[in-house]
Formats: sequence, structure tokens, C-alpha cells
Amino acid sequence: MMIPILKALVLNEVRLRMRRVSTLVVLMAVVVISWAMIADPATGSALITTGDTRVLYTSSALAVGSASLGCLLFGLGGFYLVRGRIAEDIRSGTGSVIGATPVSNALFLAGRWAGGVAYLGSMMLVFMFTIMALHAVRGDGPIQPHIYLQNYIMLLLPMMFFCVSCAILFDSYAPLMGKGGDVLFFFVWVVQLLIVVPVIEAPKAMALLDFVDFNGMGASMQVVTASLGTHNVSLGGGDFKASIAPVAMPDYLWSVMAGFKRMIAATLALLPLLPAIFLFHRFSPDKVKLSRATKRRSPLEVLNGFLRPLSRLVSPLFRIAAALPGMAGQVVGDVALTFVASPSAILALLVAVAAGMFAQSAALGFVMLGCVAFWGVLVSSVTSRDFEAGTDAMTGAVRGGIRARFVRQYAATVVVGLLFTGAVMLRWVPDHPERALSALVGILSLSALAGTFGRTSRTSRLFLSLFLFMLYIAVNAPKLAFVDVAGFSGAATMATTAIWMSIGLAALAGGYLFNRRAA
Amino acid sequence: MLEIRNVVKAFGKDFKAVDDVSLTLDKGVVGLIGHNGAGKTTLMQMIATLTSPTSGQILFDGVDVTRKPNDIRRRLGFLPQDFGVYPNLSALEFMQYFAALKGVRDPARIRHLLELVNLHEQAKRPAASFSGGMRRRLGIAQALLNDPDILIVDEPTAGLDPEERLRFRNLLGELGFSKLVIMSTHIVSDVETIAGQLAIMRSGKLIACETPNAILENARGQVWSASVDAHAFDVLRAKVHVLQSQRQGDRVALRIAHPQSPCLGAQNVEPSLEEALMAQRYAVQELAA
Repeated sequence: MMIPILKALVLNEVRLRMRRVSTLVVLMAVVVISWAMIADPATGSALITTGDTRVLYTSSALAVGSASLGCLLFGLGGFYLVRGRIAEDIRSGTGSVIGATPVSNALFLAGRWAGGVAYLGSMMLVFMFTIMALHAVRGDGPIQPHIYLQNYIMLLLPMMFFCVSCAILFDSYAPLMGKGGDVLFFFVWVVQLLIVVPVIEAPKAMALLDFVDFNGMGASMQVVTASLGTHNVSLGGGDFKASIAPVAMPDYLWSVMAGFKRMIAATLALLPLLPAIFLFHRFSPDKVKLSRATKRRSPLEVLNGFLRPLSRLVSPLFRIAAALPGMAGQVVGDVALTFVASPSAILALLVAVAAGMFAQSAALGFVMLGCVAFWGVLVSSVTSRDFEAGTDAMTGAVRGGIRARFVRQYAATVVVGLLFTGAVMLRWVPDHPERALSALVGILSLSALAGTFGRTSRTSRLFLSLFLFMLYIAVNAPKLAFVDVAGFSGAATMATTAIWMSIGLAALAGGYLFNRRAA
Repeated sequence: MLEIRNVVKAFGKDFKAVDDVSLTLDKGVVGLIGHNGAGKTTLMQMIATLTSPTSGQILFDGVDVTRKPNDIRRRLGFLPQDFGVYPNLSALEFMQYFAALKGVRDPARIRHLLELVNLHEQAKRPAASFSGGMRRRLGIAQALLNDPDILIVDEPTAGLDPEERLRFRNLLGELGFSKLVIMSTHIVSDVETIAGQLAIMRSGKLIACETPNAILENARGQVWSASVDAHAFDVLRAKVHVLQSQRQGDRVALRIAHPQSPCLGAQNVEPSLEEALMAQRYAVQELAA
């Protein structure tokens, strides 16, 4: 009896997810990102280097290198891609129907888990096939599918299990269902990365940590350093000297013990499912409602509830908006809505402006990073909030209609961004105009990406996952010009600013055309 | 005021949600009636400029709304069937946001509308905590913000209790004195006392647009009352359209829609509007068959 129910649940999940436009968008993003992640050796950089020596792009090198980067990307993004289905059940009204069926919590959540794994697994396959296609173009040896499969299973399986298990846990426990849960998982992911160093430095003594290295970054470094016989390894992207002969990695990197550790990690990755079964709200109206506005139980909701009086500071903006003609008024209205709905943002804005005005010049990059981080999380839902709240038909029937709504929401996102970052930008203008320009382009481009991803996927999570991932890279690789999207570190060049401008324009055009077609 | 000319909305090659609908409407309440999937919501969405017709024209005071959608949007109030509210926003803030989108400058208007729908005392409460009826009232207040000339409300009474439904019906009836109110429903009692016209849709087509009296007049002579035993009831219901059946001891009291007397002892009776509509629907079905 259980197997047919489980099969039906999994099939339903797979069908639901695969028939969405957002899945197509994610797949395209995966293809583009995976292609862009692997450096072209002709540029003097390679995926894996040891000292100044390049490691040849054989199947094992490309497989372990790309899978490691995949761990980093999907370890964060996978969670946001998978979660949200239970909230969707609540929105659509099917949640209460499910809650009243005889299906047990464990079976229901197992079905959801398996569906999430199938969905994320398909993303991994697309990722792997893209790398194999890239191998055909830039590779140094034959494509060996079994080598790819072995490395991907060893590295990505525990990560995938952990991501999906966490997504199920966070969706099952009402206080973690909202944005608070989104932010909390980011810290879970950061903790996962923090254990990489002890795993690499003392692999034997830290065997216990091997088992909870779900993201696999430590494991991948272990096998790569063991196979190359040195700890001086750069994995992900490093410069090399073309005059030095490249080295090749062996085909098989995984010992029986290393494989055993990964399988233990995959098993332990299921542990979040246990509390999920006990904490599952089962769509009880006592625990979850269509809107949990009055519950204020997640930390962010508690904070917003506490700061509610601050919204009075912003409410006059609605009157100003009504008095302004045309789209300008609507943009101001959307800005006001953004702040009134999240009073914590009003406090954050005050702090941001004060810090931007009075912080020492040397600290402005850090201030900018904080401002952009808060702003990105805040505006990630601007183009999806109407759909999520069920007001899309009403906001589509006002002046400008559905077509203009995308444009005005984009403009509101930019305005909120400029409010947060404007003080820092203005201080950069006299001495570092290129940095101010980079910040301005960053706000414009990130707004376009937030708007387009929100509009196409009808959720804030696609943008949020990529945005947080990029911020993490920006913090950890301050010299990497490309990820210095808003002048955080001053590494951005005119070339990278131009690239971000192009990305922003392409995203804006894509979002506009999609919205126009959908309207 | 509103003229719909040969409007078609097709999805794919084979399915027409709205099929060649033509209609001219003036001030007053118009009840848009039809079964689920008849095309009511699609037609209303086209009038509300949320979606465009595949062919045909919708003219509002002579202006094509597809070409100049903002002309109607300025004078339009729309309340969709399913709608929600933003979390963390009070009813007042919700209204203020829509006032900003619609360019309504007078703050007194918001207060007046909240009073009109009897929500002024709850104005500062989170709208997400409202009951279904209160949300509907907030929705109608939102739709009236810009003092629209045309008000489109899609299934506004769905899920409301009888008291809320009555209140809503009276409110829409009053609004119909000075505005065009298009109200879709499949609950006939919601429109029979307030609608000046009933537009009846079936499978995307407009099959009639008449006053309630005309519909009643057309059905006169087609609705019958009879009392039969259980066996006769089984035989009869296979042959005729039974509108109502009620067990009374060992007999069954029936109301039947049929062009002629359906059985011995049947008496011709005055139809209710709902019965008249059903009789009309069966007549159309039989004609099509």
C-alpha cells in the first residue's frame, strides 16, 4: 500500500515541477553558470592548478572540479529551489485536503523528499551533461561518462540529500517557512563551509567531521590533494604558467574508505527528516494559515511585528504617491509598500544611510556590502509578491496594467537600492568615480535579475539563492573583479562593470518580453 | 457605455473560452450567469484589460479598450474571484497602496469607503487576519477607490454567510443606480432582485441577454408541479428535467421543466427565476441536440 502512495506522491512532485516555466529558467541558468564556471585554459586560468602547473582537463579532473563547484552552488541554491511546495499547498487550498487524508506524516514527507531529490537530481544531470559538452570543446582526453558519474555521486549525493532534507524540515515547521528560514539556511550553508578547513588539514583526526561534510568540499579537496601528492592545490579557478608542462590526474580518485565516508555522510544527511516528521504542521490552521501575518513567530516576523510603529514613518509616502502623476506615483507606492510590509527595512535603511554618511572611507566597501545584502533579500520578492499574496489581478487592472507593472516594480527595486546605497555612492563619486559607477550598475543589474527571476519563477527564491551565493563568493574572493558587482572591494574594472551592465540589460529585456507575452 | 463586439478568446487552436460574444450594456447591474467554465471570468478579465481578446472589440464610451486600456482602467473597479492581501499590511495601508496605484489623492475617500463597507473600526488591523467576508468587503472598497464608472465583480458572494451576502447584494444594487456593475455568479438569488439585465453564457457563447421579467415570461408554461409515487418518479425523471423533488410521505412532490404537461395531474405553475433559467438552459440543450 505504501509503495503506490509513495509513487503517486513522487510522480506528482516531478510533474508539477517539470511543467513550470521556472524550471526551464533554472535549467538555462544551470547551463549558463556551469559553462561559465570552467575557465578556458587559453586565458591562462584553469579549473585545477597546483602551484603554477595546470591540471589537464581529463574526465576525472573536470568531473571532480565541476562537482566541487556544483557542491558550492547547489549546496545553497538547491535548498531554495526545492523548498516552497508546502507553502504552495497552503496557497492553493490543497493543504487542508491533504491534511485530512489518511496518509501519514512520514509517508507524505518521504514523497515530498523523493520528489525534491528527483528534481534536484535532474538539475545535477543537466549540470553534468553541460560539463561533458564543455569537455568535448576544451577537454584534454576522452569523455568517460562513468568517471563523471562516480565523482558526481560521491560529491553531490550527500549534498543533495542534505539540501532536500533541510528544505523539507524548514517547510514542515511553521516558524521556518518564511524568509527567516531562507536566511537561516544561508548560515547553515556557511557552517558547512567552515568545516572544510579542518577536514582538509587533519583528515584522520577529524574523521567525524568527514561524516557531516555534506557539501563535499572537504572530501573533494582530500581526494584531489591525495591524487596530486601536494596540498598546494587551487580548485575552482587558478592561474598557471603555460611554459610548465601540465599534469594529469588519475582516472579513479576515490578509495573504498573515501567512498564509505561519503555514503555515511549521505545517510546522515537524512537526519533533518526526523524532526520534520514530528514538527510537521500538517496544514493545521492553528499552525499555518494562508497568510501568517498575525502569527509573527519567525524571528523576522517577530522583529517586523516589534518594529511595526516604524511603518508610520513611511505611510505618508502613499499620499505622495497618489499625488504624483502616472507611473512615478505607482513607483513611489511600490517603494512605500516594500517598507511598510517590512518595517525592519526602515530601521535598516536608517542605519545604512547613517553608516554611508559617517563611516570612514576605508570601511565604505564593507558598508556597501551590508547595504546590498539587506537590500537584495528585501527586494527579492518585489515582482513575485503580488502573485504570492493573491493580489496580481487587482494590481494588473490599474493604470498601466500588467505590462507596466513589471517596469514600475523594477523601478521601485532600483529606487529602494539607491536609498540604501546612495550615501556610499555619493561619497565615492569625487575620489573613486569608477567604483561609484560600478555600484550604480550593480544596483541596476541586480534589480533587473531580481525582477526577471521573480516574474518568471513567481517566487523570490531563485534570485535569492544566486544572490546569496554571489555575495559569499564576493566576501571570500575580494580580488575577483567579476563578483565585485557593486564596488565592495574595489576590484571591479570597467570591463566587469560593462559585463554587468550587459547582463542587467539582457535580464531586463528578457523579463519585459516574458511579462509582455504573459500579459 | 460598454459595447462588446464579436469578442473571441481562444486558447490554442481548438478551445474558445469566449466565442463570438456581442453585448451592449449601460448603467445598472448586469448579472453574468453561467455554469463553471462558461467563459464568464474570461470575459470579465478581457473587460478589465487583464487579457486581450483574440478577435473582436470591446468599446468603452466608444474607445477600444484593447488599444487604449488606460482609458478604461481609470474608470474601472475590479474585484477578482480569488484574491488575497499582503501580509503585514493593515486594511488602511492596503487601501493606501491601491490609492497610490490608482492615483486617488483624497485620503477622506479611503475613510469613507472603509465606513461604507463597515471596516472603519478594523482599519488598523492586519488585513490578513480578516475573515472571508471582511476581505471581500475590503476588496470591494478597493475596487471603489477611484469612484469607477464600471465595476466588475467576479463571484463576489462565494463563501459568504447569508448576512454578508445580503449586505453585499444591497451594496451592489445601490451602486448600480449610478454605475455599470457587472457581476458574475452562478447563484441566481444573488442577482434576481438587483440585476436589470441577465447575460447568460454557455460554453463560451452568450445565449441570452434579457431582463429577469423577460426570462420569466419566456419560461411561463414550461414549469410544472406534480405529486407522484416513488415508482412513477423513477420513470418520470428518466424522461424529463426535474427541477426539484421533495419526499412527502409515500409520494414525491416535483417541479419539472417541460414544454408540455409531463404527467397526468401536473399543474402549470409560475416559475422562479432560477427555474426559468434552467428551463431555458434545457431548451437550448435540446435544440442543440
